[in-house]
This record gives sequence, C-alpha cells and structure tokens, in this order.
Amino acid sequence: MKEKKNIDRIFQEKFKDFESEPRERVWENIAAKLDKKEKKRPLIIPLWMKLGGVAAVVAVIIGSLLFTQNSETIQNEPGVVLERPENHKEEKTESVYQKDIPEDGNFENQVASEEPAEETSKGEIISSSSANSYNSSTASNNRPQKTNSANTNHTSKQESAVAAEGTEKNRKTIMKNEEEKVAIKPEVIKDETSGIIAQTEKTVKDSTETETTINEQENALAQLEEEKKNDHKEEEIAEAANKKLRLSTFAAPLFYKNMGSGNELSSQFSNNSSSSEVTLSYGIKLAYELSNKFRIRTGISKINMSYNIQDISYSPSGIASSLDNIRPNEDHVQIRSNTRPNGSMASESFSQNSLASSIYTPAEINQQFGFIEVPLEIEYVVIDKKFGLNIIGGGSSLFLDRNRVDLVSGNATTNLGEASNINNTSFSTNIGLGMDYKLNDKFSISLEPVFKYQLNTFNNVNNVQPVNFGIYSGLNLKF
Amino acid sequence: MGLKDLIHKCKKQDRKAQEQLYRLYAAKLFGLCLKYSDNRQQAEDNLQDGFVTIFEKITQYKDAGSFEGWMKRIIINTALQKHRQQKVYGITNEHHLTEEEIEVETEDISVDFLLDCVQNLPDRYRQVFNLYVLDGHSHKEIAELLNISEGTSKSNLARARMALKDRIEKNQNIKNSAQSS
Repeated sequence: MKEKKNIDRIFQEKFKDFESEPRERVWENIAAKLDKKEKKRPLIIPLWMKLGGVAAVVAVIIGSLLFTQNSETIQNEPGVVLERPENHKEEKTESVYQKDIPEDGNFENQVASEEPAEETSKGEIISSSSANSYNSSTASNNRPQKTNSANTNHTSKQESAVAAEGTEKNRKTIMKNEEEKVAIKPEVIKDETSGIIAQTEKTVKDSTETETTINEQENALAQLEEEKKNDHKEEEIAEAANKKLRLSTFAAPLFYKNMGSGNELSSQFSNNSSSSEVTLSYGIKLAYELSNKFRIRTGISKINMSYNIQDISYSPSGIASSLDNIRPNEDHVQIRSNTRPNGSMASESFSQNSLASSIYTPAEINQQFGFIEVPLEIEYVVIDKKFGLNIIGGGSSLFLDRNRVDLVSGNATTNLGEASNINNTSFSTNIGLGMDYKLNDKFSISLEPVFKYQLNTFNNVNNVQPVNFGIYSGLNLKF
Repeated sequence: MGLKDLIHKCKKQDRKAQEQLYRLYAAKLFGLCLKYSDNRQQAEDNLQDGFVTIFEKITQYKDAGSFEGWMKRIIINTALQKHRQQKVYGITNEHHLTEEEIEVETEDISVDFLLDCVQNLPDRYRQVFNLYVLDGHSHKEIAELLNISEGTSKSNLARARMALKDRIEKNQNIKNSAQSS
C-alpha cells in the first residue's frame, strides 16, 4: 500500500548511507595538485643525497684550500733554494771587505722578488765601493756606516719573504762588521804614526783592491745569474715532467633507471611496468691537478635516456590526449593505462568503457630525453702508479636538448609530442670510481663506473627518482 | 593501520597515506558532493578540491571531534564556496512561507531518482535543503554559512520541499499512468 511520509524523512532515510564511487582520475588529479603544491615547499631531500651534496662541497673546499696552499709553496720554495748558493758567495766577498754588507741586503731583495736585475746590482756595487773607499780612509766614519748598513739590511730583510734566514744572516753580518772594526782600529793607529803619505798610499792601495773586488763580485754575480737561470731551467724541466692538465675523450653505455615508484610521464602510469634502454653517452673532459692527491675536472658530454611504459592501450579519438604532461603533436589518439591501482579494476569506470575497450589497441609509450651534461667533479687519488685508482665525487648541470614521446604499437610508431614536465636545467650528484692505466708519460686509458642521481629533472609527477649509471671508458692525454 | 596513524602520516604529507585516506572516505564524501552539486562532473571537481584542502589543512586537525565530521565540513564548504564564486544564485523570493508538513507517497523511490531531484533544484534551495534536512544544520547556522537571513533560509527550505514534492509526485503519476495503461 502507498503510505504517506514526510518528505524530509524520505530523503533522510534514502541518503543515510548514500555513497558513490568517484572515478579514478579524481585521485590522480588530487595527487597532481598536491605535487604542484609540494614543489613550493622546501625540498625534502633524501639523506644520502644530502650526504652526497655535502661530500661534493667538502671536496671542492678541500680542493680549493690545497690549491691556494700549493700556489704559496710554489712561490716560496724556489726562493729558499735560490738563496743558499748566493749566501755562500756573499760570505766569500764579505770576508774580503766590509763593503759587501749593503749589497748583501740588496741581494736578498732581489732574491725575494726573484728578479735577476744585474744592472741595478752592479750600480749599487759601484756606489757602495765608493762609500767603502771613504770608509777605509776614516775609521771614525765606520760606525755610522755600519749602523746604516745594518739598518738597510734589516729593512730589506723585512721585505723579503724568508724572515728567519734573514735575521740569521743579519746576525752574521753584524758579527763580521765588528770583527772588521777591530781589524781597522790598529790600522788607524798605524796610520797616525806613519803619517799622511802612508795614508794616501794606503787609500790608493785600497781603491785598487776595491776595484779588484768589484771585478770579483761581477764574476760572482755572473755566476749567480747563470745559476739562477739553470735553476729556472731545472724548474721548468720539473714542471714539464709534472704535467698539470689532462684532456680525456670518453664514451659510455648508460643505464637509466627510475628508483621511485612513480612514472616520469604521468602519475596515471605509476602502476605500469617500464623498461629502459641502454644508451650511449660521450664527451670530453678536462682535468687539472690541484695537488698530488686531488684533481678537479669539468667537461661537456651528451647523454640520452630512453625507456618504455608498458601495458598501454590506445584508440583513435577526436578528443585531445588527456595525459597531464604531454604537449601533444597529434591529438587524435586516446591513451589509457591497462593497470589500475590496488590491482582491482574500478568496476564503474570499466563498465562504462566496456564497449570502448574493444577498440583499444595494446601498445607501449616510448619516452626519450637527452641532456648536454656539464660536470664539475673532484678526483681523489688513491693510487697513482702505472695503474691508478681514484674516487670521483661532484655534480653535473643538465641542459635538456632532446624530448620526445612516442606511441609504439607493433611496428608502428606515432609521435605523441614532447613531455612538458622535464626541466630545461636540472642537476645531478655524481659519485664514482676511476681506474686508469698509463701507457706512457702522455697517454693513459681509463675506466670509470659513475653513478649519477638526478635531482630535479621532472616536475608535476610523484615519486620519480631518476638515476643513471655509466661505465665511462676513455683515452687521456696529459700536457 | 589505525585512523590516528593514518592521519599522523598524512600530516607529514606521506603520499601513500594520503591515497589510503582518500580511498577510505572517497565514496562517502563523493555521495556528499553529489548532493551539493548540479551534476557528477561538478561533484568530482568539488571532491577533488575538497580533498586537496583536507590534505593541506590536516595539520590543523587536532584529534578533537570526529575526523569524518571535520572532513565533511571541508567538503561542504568547498561546495558552497564554489557556488559563491560562480554567483549562480537565482533571484530568491524573500516572501516567507510558513513551515508546514509536506508529505508524499513513497513507493520504490530510488536514491538515484532522489539525487536527481536534489541536483535539479536551484542551487540555493538545494544548499538549504541539504544543510538542514540531510546534514542537520540549524537555520541559524545556515544563515551564517550562506550569508543570508534566517527567514530566507526557512523560506528557501519550504520552496525546496515544495519543488521536490512536485517532482516526486509528477514522477509517480507518470509511473502510475504507465502501469494503468
């Protein structure tokens, strides 16, 4: 029988447990929106990635520190080495006459600045020798002269880089000054007794002696110059033996893998299996030796990735392809994933499509993308013999230069367009092991398995962690 | 995994947990969306936007009160917000009808048909009817939610009831005539 009921009650009863299953794409849209929002939040970087980044930064800092220290020692070491022979020469000349003292100071200046200024030193020798003749004629003037020379010595030495040795020498010269002072004093007494004639004779003798010592000095200087030049040559030879730069060409089979559970192209393919193809990477690298232990290197290379998303079916359609991240070239194909999350077919949407499913053809989607890679890496040398071993760490900038999505069905390939969610510039952290074998002084061959974690290649998709692994083999030239 | 656990993980924006929560409540909340929308498409849009808001604001949920109730409020607000944005209100007659008991004959009325009736109501009538009859809000609450007077809320409700009754009776007449012929 018909019964009358309050309209509110009818609705309340009927809608009490009213539920309805939304279509699957609602969740996909939610996930996509959350992904976008997440992009704006600070990146949550996996721990090991952080460590990799930190390691790279530390490596760069250590490298740069070593580099600066190294350059300092390069400046210092030859200075110290060069000074020693001069000191010996200096002492010889000093033993003849006191006049050498100011020159000694000049020499050190020259050594410090590493300028082989022959002419100036000669000029100074002449001027100092004249001062000396004056010096020898009047013993009383000896004192101010001495202090002067000591002063100049002191200031010049302050300027010089090797302070410790300088003071040591200072002491030596002062000692000598005093010795000579003692030697001159009796002469003065003699001079007084023997008279003015004897003194003039002596000054003449002195001047001739100074002339000879000047000659001697010039000879010594010439010798020094030659030695300096020789030293320079030796250094050059040493440098030539220790080549700092290394140029390499390399090629590698590249294995690409997505470690995350998501799909690069669209979150709706997350449950589809995918297979990546081995591709070829090639390029050149330039390495600079920072120290015996560290090398820094950069270069340019080409990398390509290609992989297939399986279990796809497609059907010709008037509607534009509804995949999130594809900029379509041709919009007459409709694509769907054959797999459903949780393994269960969403019965509702499936029944709606049951008629349509017959016209869907199974296929695969092939996605290809390629980058120009510019790495900056540090090599830490573990073994450096005929066989070398080093650890490589660093990062790369990746510039997108290839981007293509194809639908592959049987033998037919249809270009779907390009992926819009690959960033034009992205980065990777790199870690690897380098092995090389030296063929001769110049050439070596190398083999480097390197693992690269791509940081921000894709946007708008979830749980995508692309990594690539390459075994780089190459030929290296040292120069 | 308990609901508390799930909420905790959702607060950390764990995508797997979010999906699990979604799958747990999607059907129920989609039913709610359907009631507040003109059609299925609009309901899906509301569900989608509502869930995004839920996941964004889940950190603000403090274990006080029913979590389902909290989510329902967000979903309803999302739906109401949409209509506020779309400015789809018809000119509502402010003439106040007195509340009266409206009764209709009930004989195998399907929920789908009732849903269709609700969805075909003018937006404002539908909102008031849903809020008052199906989701248990008072006229005062409705007035605040929709930014209307309580009187308008009451009159809208009465008009909604009338419209629904007409629709149901018309449908039954068609059925009856089909049976008798």
